Amino acid sequence: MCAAYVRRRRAGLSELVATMLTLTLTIVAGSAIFYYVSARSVESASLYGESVNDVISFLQERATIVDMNYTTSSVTIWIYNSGKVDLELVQILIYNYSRSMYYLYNASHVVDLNNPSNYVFLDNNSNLEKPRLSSFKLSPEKTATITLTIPNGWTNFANGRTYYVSITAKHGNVYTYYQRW
Amino acid sequence: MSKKRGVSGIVASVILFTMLFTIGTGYLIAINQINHLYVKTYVKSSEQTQDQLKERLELIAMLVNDKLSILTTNKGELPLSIITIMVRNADGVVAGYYNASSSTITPRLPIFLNPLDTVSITTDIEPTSLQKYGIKLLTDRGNIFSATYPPVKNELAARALSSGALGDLYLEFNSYTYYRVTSNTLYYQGPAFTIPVSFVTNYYSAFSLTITNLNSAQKNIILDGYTRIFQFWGTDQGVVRRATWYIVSNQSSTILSSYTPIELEYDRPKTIVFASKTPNTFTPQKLSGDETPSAGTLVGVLILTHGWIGIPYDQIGNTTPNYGQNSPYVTTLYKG
Repeated sequence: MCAAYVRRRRAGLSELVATMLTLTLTIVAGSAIFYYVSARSVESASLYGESVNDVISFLQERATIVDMNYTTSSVTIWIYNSGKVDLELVQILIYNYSRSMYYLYNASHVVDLNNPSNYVFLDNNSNLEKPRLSSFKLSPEKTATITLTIPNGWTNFANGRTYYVSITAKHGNVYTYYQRW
Repeated sequence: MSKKRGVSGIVASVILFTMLFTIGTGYLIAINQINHLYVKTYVKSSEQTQDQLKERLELIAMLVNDKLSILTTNKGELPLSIITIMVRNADGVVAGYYNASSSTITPRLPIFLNPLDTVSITTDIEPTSLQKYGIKLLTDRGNIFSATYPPVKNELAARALSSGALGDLYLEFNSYTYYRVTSNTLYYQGPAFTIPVSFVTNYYSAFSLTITNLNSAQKNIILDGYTRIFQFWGTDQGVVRRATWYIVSNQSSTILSSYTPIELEYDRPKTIVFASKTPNTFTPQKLSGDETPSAGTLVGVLILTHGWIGIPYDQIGNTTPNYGQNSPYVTTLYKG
């Protein structure tokens, strides 16, 4: 009886411990899975949100190139922001019909795309972009100008010719315009 | 033992379901909100594009008092706002750039135009005779509308012909109207193609019509007080009779006592009133005696215009009239 009693008590303890262990394991594993799945879903929703936000910004970004005004070595471009978000520019291409003139202006360089080794680095004192694309920000319903100057020694604008400008904005829209000098 | 297992199983299921529900619902709500925002933005963007496509602005560049002016009509379906105007000459040089801060343009920008509204925008640019200009108007929706000065010749000719202009003036035949005049007030009677004889003998009468200056050089025309409507007919005895109503100044239906020269800007319709027996000063006109056509007489109606052409309004006092035109207009039947 005594041995049998002892056996029953031991068996009861081990069951309790086993239950506790099982419960603990279940809770720990369950919580881990919960937090993992939760984190993944938050990440997924966040990524999706960012992606949709990019598309929304793309849709809200609109601009009109109103006019271009030439001198021999520079062009002034009038831009109107007809969108709902600030207009920021990434790069501007200037070219002629045959693309024998094909210049790229971005935040840091002016590059002759027909000869990419021919480029000018834009330091803080550079006057080739006025204002600099890195600081250009145009509020909705505002008009602004950008003056781009051709680096010394490069082919200049010629009177009577038509030139194209292609502007890439921050959210991916591209606006193209042409005008005869 | 078996009872406890059953409870724990249910509890576990509930916990599991709650966990899944919490995560799944939160995820779905987040995605739904994002999708809602996307759809809303997409719809707005599409509406903006459609609105932009619906904008239509008709521009005519002209000279008004030697200044380059743009007659602008909103021919689209939506109200619009002109925010910027740029004028460049034939050499490509920007001759004028006007925005909300420019004070040298009348009216000041921005200019709001409802559908079918017309506004004449006057710049401070005074073109020389051979100078050509390109004009661009920018609207708040981002559309650009352009015109040239001077307009292309065949464009002018086509417009004048399609409008039915006689000489410099286009006369709107169906605008021919007659009025009863009491004291100095006009009372509308109807189209003046048929009028009872008793009307012009019993009442003071007046006429109005709408005319448009379509001068091919787009010069303004200013009418002096001798401008008149002239009715003539022949009697059975071969005698020519006539009756005259001189032009008057009016404010709505009130005739002013003295006449102030009326300016006809290019391509801007204007309704003018003829009510006076004498030039320059309003004297009510009631026909009597030989001036009265008999019943059944069909009278010819001429519009005799006189004044100045291409002269700034403020200089007509020092300038001899240099314009006159006799335009056959319509007929009026005087019935018994």
